Amino acid sequence: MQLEFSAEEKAFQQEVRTWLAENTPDWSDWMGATREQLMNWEQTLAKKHWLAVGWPKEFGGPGWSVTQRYIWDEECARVGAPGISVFGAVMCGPVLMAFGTPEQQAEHLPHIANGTRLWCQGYSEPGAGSDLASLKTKAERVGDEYIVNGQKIWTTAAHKADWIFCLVRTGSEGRPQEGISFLLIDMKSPGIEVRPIHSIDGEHHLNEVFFKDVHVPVTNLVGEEGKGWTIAKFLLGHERTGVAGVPGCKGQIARLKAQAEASKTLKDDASIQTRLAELEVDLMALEFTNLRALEVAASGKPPGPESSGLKIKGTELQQALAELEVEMGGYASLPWQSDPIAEPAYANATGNYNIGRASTIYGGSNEIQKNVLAKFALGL
Amino acid sequence: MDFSFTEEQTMLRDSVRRFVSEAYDFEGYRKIAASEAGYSPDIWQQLGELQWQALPFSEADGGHGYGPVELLLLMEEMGRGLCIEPYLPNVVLAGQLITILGNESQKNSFLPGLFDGSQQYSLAHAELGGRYDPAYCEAKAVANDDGYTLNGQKSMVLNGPNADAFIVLARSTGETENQNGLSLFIVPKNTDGLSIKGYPILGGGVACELTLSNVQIPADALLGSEGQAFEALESVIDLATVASCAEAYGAMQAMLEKTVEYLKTRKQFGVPLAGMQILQHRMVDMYIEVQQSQSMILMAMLRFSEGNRAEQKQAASACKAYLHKASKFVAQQAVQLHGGIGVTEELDIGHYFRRLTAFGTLFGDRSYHLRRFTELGKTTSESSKDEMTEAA
Repeated sequence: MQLEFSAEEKAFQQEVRTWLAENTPDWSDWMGATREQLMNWEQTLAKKHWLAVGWPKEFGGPGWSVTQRYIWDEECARVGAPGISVFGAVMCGPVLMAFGTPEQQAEHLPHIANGTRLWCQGYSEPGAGSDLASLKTKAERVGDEYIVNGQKIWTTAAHKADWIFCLVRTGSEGRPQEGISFLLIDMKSPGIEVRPIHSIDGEHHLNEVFFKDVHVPVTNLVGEEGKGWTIAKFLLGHERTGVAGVPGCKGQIARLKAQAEASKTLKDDASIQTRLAELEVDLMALEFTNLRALEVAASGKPPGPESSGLKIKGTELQQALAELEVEMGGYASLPWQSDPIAEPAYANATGNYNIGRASTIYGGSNEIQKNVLAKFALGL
Repeated sequence: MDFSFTEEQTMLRDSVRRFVSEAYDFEGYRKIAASEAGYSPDIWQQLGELQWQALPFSEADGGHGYGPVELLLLMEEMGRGLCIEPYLPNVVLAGQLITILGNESQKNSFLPGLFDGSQQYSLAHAELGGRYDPAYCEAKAVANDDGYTLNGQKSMVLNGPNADAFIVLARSTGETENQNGLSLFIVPKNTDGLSIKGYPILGGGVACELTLSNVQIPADALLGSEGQAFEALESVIDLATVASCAEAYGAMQAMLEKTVEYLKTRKQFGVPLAGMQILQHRMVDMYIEVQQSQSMILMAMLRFSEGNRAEQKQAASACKAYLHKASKFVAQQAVQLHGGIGVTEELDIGHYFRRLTAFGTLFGDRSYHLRRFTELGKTTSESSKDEMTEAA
C-alpha cells in the first residue's frame, strides 16, 4: 500500500504541468465551447496522444497507469483545463474496443483518438427515460441496411456532432431488453433533424434528434443484433467512474475557499466555513472511492456496482458546491446572462447551479442507481 | 500508487476476524460488557499470548514492527465483532506514548508487561473544561528536590480502573490552553494522593475520574522532556482517532450486513421487507456511507504510513468528521429498519448502536474536527505561502 509518486511519476507530473501551462486554452467549459474551439483543443491533446487518456497504446491511447491517469486529472483541474467531449473517447471508444469489429475499430477509433470526429449519444426518448428499455426508435432490416425511424431526446451536443451511437429497437419478441441493438449513425445521413432544447441555464446544450427513414448500413451494427442492452450496461459503468467529477470538484472547492478568504464578510462566517469544510471532507472520501474504482478498471476488471455509488455521491457533491457558490455570491449571483459588473467571480454561479440539477438525472438518475445497487451490491 | 494489502496483512486481518468471532459471540460479549472490569482478563491474556499487544511497536522495542495499516485492520475487525477489550487505551494511547517518549529504562520497565498482557496503562490527559483540546490542562506539575508534585483532576481516563499505572498530563509552565509547558508522567496506581473513581461507559468498557492531591513522584517518572509533551501527545491522539474510526468502520459493516439479512427474512404485508423500494434505497444509502468510510480509512492508512505530520493531522480530522456522521447514519438506520427489536437489549444491533454513539464523542466529535480541519487548512496554506515567498 503506497500513495507516494515514484521518481518517474514525478517527472511525468512535471511534463504534464509544463505542457498544460503552454497549451491550455483561455476557455474551460467544453459544453459551452463552439465546435471549432472544442475540436482545436481535442486535436492539440491528440497530437500528444493525450486525448483518449483511458485507452491502451494499441488503439492510440497513452496506455497510462492509474497513477498517471490520476496525475493527469489533478493537473488539468489545477489549471482549470477544459474537459473533452466524453461521448467519443470515454464512451464510444471503449465500446468499440470491447464489442466492435476490426473494420469498425479501424474506421472510428483513429478519428476519436485524433479528435477529428465528435460524437453524441442517442439513448433517451420522450417515452423512455429511466425505463430506457421501453425505447421505441425502430431499426428495420432491409437488405444490407437498417431503416431507422423515431426520436431521441436530451441529446447533448447533437448539434455539434459528426456521429451518434444509438440504442434502437430491432425486435419486439421477449423482454423489452432483448430487442435492442447498438447502432452507429452518421449525423449527415438524410432524414436526421436536430432541434435545440434550451436548458434552465439559458444555454443550448441539449437537443431532440428525429430520424425519418434514415438508411444505415448493417455494418454499423455493434455486437449482435438484439444484444445492445449488454453494451448499454457496459457503457453506463464506464460513464460512472468519470461522472464522479472529482478533479473538477477539487478545483471548485479551492476556488470557493479562496473567494471566501478574499471576502471580508465570508471570511469570518462560521456557517460558510463549516460548509466548506464539510464538502472538502466529503470530497476526500469521494476521491479515494474514485481511486479505488480506477484501480479496479486498470486491472482490466469491469467497473462493479460501486460505480453507482460514485455517481450518486459525486453528483450530490457537485450540486452542493454549486449551491454553496450561489449563496456565497449573494447579490453578485443574480445578474443573468450579462457581463458581470461587481463580482466577476460569481458570473457563472447560477448557470452552473441550474444546469447542475441535471447531473442527478442524467447517466441513469440517482434513484435508478440506487435500484442497481440494491440488486447488485446488496442482493435485494 | 497502490491500494492493495500484502498477503501478510490479509492473513492478519483474517486471523483477527476468526479469533474475534470465536472468542466474542454475542452472549459472551454481554457477560463481559456487564462485568465490573468491562473486559475479559482471560481473553486479554490470550491476546498477549498471540502477541497482539506488541503488534504496532518497533522490533527494537520488542514489538512486531507493524505499522498503521496493520493496526487499523486489527481495529476494524475488533469493531466488526463488537470486541471491547481495552486495546486502544493500552496499546495505542499509553503504549505509543511510552515508545515515542520513553528512555531505555522506562521502555524496559513498562513495555514487556504491556506486550504479554500482564500490565495495563491508561493515559490521563482529558479535563472536562477543555472538551477535546489536547493542550488544555489545568493540572499542575511542580518540580522539587525529590522529583515532582502533581495536583489536578483528570476525566474520562479510558480503562482507568484496570490500569496498573497512569500516564498523567500536567502543566509545568504556561497558561491553561498553551501547547508549550506540558509534561507527561508515569504514575503507578498505588501512589499516595491518587484517588480513582471508576464507572462503566456507554458502549462497553470502563473509565475513571482521577484526582491528584499532592502526588509526589520521583524525577525519573517524567516521560520525555519537561514541558515538551504536546507534539507526541497530539500525534498519539491523532493515531487513536483514526484507529477508533477503523473500529467504527468495522461496526458499520456489521450493522449493514445484519440489517440486510434481517430485512430479507422479516415479512410484513405477506412479503419480505427487503422487497420494498423505500427500504432498499435506505439500505443503499447505508451501503454508500460504508463505502465512503472505507475510502476514508484507506486514506488514513496511507497518510499515517507515509505522510508528514501536517497531512496526518488533516487526515485524522477529516476521517473522524466523516466517520462520525456516517456511523451515526448507519447506526440510526439499522435501528430504524429493525423496528422494535432494534431498541432492545436482546439484539446486538442496539449494542453496536451504543458503541458507535460513544465513538462519535471520543477524541472529538464532528464539529470539533471540522473546525480543526478548517484551521489546519489555513495554517498549511499560510506556511506554503511562506515557503513560496522564501523560494522567491
